[in-house]
Order: sequence, then C-alpha cells, then structure tokens
Amino acid sequence: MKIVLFESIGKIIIIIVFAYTFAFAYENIWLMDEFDRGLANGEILPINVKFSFWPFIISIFLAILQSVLSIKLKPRKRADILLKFAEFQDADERELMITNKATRASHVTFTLTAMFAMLIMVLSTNYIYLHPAFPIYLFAATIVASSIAYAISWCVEFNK
Amino acid sequence: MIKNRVKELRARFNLTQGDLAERVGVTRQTIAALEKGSYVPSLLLAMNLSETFKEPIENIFFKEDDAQSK
Repeated sequence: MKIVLFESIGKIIIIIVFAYTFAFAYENIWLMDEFDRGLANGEILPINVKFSFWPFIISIFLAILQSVLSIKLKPRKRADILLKFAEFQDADERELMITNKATRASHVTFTLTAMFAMLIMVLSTNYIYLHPAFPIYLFAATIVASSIAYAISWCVEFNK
Repeated sequence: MIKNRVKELRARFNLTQGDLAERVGVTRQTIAALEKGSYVPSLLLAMNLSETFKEPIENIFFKEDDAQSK
C-alpha cells in the first residue's frame, strides 16, 4: 500500500509542478502573442518575454527523484521498467485484482472529469482571457482526479 | 460465500501468516484477507494451500451452506 501511496502522491505533485511550469511559460508566450503580434505589422520586433528555467529544472529534478525512489522501492528487471512503472502494484494475485478494480475506478473518474472539464472550458471562455493557462490546469486537474480515485479505491480495497 | 479453514490449519502447522505467505507465494496481507474471508483465492493458490497443509481443497474451502449442514 505504501508503494501505491508513494507513487500516487509523487505523481500528483509532479503533475502539479509540470502544470505550473508549462502554464508559466505558456502564459508569457500567449500574452506576448496577443499584445505584440498586432504591433509588428510585418516587421520583426525584438521583445522580452519573462521566462524562468527554475520551474523546468525543479520539475525535471522531481521526476528523476521520483523515478529513482520508485525503482528502489519496487525493484524491477530492465525489461519491466515500463511495465512496472507508476502506481500499478501486482506483487500477488490479490493485488492484481485490487489494481484491476482501482484502474476501473480511475478510468470512470477520468472520463467523467474530462467531460466536466470540457463543459467548464465552454462556459469559461472569458476567464481564459484573464488566465490563458487555465486549460493547462484543467487538464492537470483531470489527471490528478483520476490518480486520487485510483489511490483511494486501491487503499479501500486493500484494507477490506 | 466461501468459508475456509486456513487460520485453523495454519495454527496446527505452527506457521505465521508471513511463513505461509512465503510458502504459497503471496503477500502476508493476502493470507490475512483469506482468513478474514474477504478474499476468495484463485484455483492455483487454493492448490498451493492444499499442498502445504496436505489436505484436499474441499477440506479447506467450502460453501457457507455446506458449513452449516456439517
């Protein structure tokens, strides 16, 4: 159970940091595009875009750290690196069954959240002008919701 | 509902849940869930338990209504 919790929480943190990283970059690029393209009038305008490498560096560091800890926590053969990656736990037949149920819960949550996110995007077109990176956070929230559903259903089934 | 005598047989063989889990190739939590009756094992695990306890499968696992008639 601790492996599933570690992997799920780690994944959620990394997704949030990644979302922030891309949102930060995208927001600046989008604002530049919105305000400066109209002024260019066919000429090349030198512009300064606020851009920080720190979020990128932190997110890459976190991804590497999580991968190393994951391999230490869940030793695997080289051939299984991709198969045994992430929060899927299959030490025996019961865990395989629990993973199966948790994956179903995660899939249903992902489908419902994705549909809900589409609805939010349609209803929030004005909001996107204020916060251009809003769809990136919405997409991250969809993944986070399904990861939370996976972790909760895995722990509930495991403790039955 | 399927009942089992795993806890009783494990005590008879003087095994801990961890020992039994190691012998039949599952985790200790699976043995605990089996004993609680919240998990119905696969045929392979049932056969492994039968081999460990040297008892036929039907003497280890039985339906609840069979248990009441016994």
